[in-house]
Amino acid sequence: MIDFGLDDDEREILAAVDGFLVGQAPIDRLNPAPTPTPNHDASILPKLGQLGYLGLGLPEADGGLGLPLAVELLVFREFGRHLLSPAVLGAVIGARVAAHHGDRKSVEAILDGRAGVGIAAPLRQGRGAPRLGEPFYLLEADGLGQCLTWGEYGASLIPLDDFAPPAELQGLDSTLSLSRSELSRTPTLEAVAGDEGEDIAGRADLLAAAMLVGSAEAARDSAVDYVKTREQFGQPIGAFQSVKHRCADMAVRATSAWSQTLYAGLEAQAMGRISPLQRHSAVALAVDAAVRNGAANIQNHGGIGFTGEHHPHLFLKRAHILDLLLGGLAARRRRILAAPAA
Amino acid sequence: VDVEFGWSPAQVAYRRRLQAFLEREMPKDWFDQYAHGIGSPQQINFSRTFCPKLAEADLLLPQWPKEYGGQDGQPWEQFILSEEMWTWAEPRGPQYMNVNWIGYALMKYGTPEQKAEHLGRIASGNVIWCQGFSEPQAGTDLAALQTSATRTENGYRISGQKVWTGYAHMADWCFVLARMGPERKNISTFLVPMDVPGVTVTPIPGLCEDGHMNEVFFDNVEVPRSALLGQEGKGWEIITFALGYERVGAPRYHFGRIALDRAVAQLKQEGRFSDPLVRAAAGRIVAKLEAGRLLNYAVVDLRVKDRPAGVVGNIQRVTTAEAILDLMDFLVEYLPDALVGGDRYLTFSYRSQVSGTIAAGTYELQLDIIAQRGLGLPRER
Repeated sequence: MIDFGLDDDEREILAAVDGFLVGQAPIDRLNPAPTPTPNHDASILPKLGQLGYLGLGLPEADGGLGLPLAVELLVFREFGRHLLSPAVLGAVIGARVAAHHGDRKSVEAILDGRAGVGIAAPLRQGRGAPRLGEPFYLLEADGLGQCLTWGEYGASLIPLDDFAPPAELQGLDSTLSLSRSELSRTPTLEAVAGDEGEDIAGRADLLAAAMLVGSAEAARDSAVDYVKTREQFGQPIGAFQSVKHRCADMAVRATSAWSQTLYAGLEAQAMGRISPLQRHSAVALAVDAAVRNGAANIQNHGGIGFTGEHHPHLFLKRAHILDLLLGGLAARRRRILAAPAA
Repeated sequence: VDVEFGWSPAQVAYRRRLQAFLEREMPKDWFDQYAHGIGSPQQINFSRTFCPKLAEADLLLPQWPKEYGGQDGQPWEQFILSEEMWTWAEPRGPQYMNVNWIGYALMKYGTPEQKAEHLGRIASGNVIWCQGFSEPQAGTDLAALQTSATRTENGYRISGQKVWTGYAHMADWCFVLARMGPERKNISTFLVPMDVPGVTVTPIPGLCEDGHMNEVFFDNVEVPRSALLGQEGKGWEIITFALGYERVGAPRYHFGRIALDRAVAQLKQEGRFSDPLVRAAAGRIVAKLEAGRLLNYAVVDLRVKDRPAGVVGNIQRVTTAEAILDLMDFLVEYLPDALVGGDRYLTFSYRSQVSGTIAAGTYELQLDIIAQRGLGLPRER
């Protein structure tokens, strides 16, 4: 049975997360003049950990709260609306990988925010687990001890010491720290593969999709707010069909991407495993919604859309970065085609 | 019907001369050092030494009349010049505007004194202009501008605010539109030096941290009568004339083609260009870019023959804008690492093209013009 309702506890958690983000992570934090600070959210993530929000979906036996995937998706959508650093994904999924290795101390340190987890995205997505010499982008990893990476094989937590000294990059999204490195020794920890690996990687994909949907929704709201107040030719520009239709398209993209993402989560709850078809479809729709809504928001803002002092550009840049770490749309569409029919 | 698609031997020779010049003059690390966008201090400063060299080699103003320092060439030469400049991401910086439209406005509407003063400076390749058009409340609806000019004993007093003013932080002169009365198009054009009292420039942070736009404030700026270009209240005519030149001025199709070629070369090198989807997408982009190129040439042809271009220029803008958007999708989809700094030209392309459907008349405005002037459809509301 599909049930879209939330119970009272879940509603309460969501309201608390929302309240936290409104106070701690307003979008404007990413726009300080003259340039943004990379890795700004490094100070926010430990607070999330202390409040218990990093272990919402982790089974109670592993030290988490054991809440359903759908709740975690709702929370990640909120993270996405605030463009919270993808390092939050590193922590939440990293804790699962650490739990798989039976490393309770590491799980605890990640969950309470003491041990941050960056993200390692392979330069070229292959099917296999990380291997010696493989090049990676490291996202939000500076100052941290480990990085999460995931792919078709499953997921892996790699100590930063296993990488060669990273070379810093000028990324598209300067609110995030980005560098490049390669594995200079065989990863210390074995990758989680098989069914459990697929479950963890699928979960990482869906949480990333939820973040992308959040960003697509925030871009939609930003555009709609603006075109209601900006006047040209004696009326709000939202009255012009070309502008209002673009807003409606933004709503359609965000809503269908969310619907698909939530469905993938609910189906996984009901079936006990994440369906590849639903998972990859969710990612493809979410990337598309976030990138296109990000671009449409810039267009709707006209001149101020392409300045750095207003925030529309942040949504587009972040969507591109998440797309990059999810392996790119083209590869994802291939995985949809390769997935067994539902 | 006389259709001729070839370049004349003289035009081919001109292009070769330009290419040889650029090969010789451009720093080898240009894209690393200077690909900060055409409004960046790096590019503006570079243009101050580069353009005089172009002028010295008789390459700066090929199509201008000889009496103003040009070579009596055709508009074709200007497009060959622009194309070759865009191969290098426009090393002329803001000075492309001087050649493309400010000069023509001065030739048509300037007094002999104004021509002597400004055209000479432009021809020497060392003067930066900025464009005082858009205002906070007047973007697409440019005629809603509020900056005012009032007559004084010796000239005019200008007050108001301009915005999105590229290059203003380093400009010598501003081409200012100001209102002289409440009637919608009672607008005049002024040539205002940026160093007079009352002019203040405030930078607007760029989308990529290194782009440069500004707000320009005019606080009771006193200018002499000689600052007026053309007649009082006829500024709208001047701006319509000038924008006719401006809006087909930048050969974005050419820039797009170079970016696509670089992307395809990288994909080939990595053995990733055998995928039929990638190949088809690249093919579609080439087709649209070439359509944009031919439409731009059609506008030039009409200009050479002194015939009205109608909405061909607007159709060109839309076609090219769509091609560039497709190109950006292509990069996002097949070369996402280009976005984080693999190839500086591609990174620069992606970042700089965000404004492609907004600046110099939005995409929507182009469609409105095509629908209304081209197809005779009624206005909205």
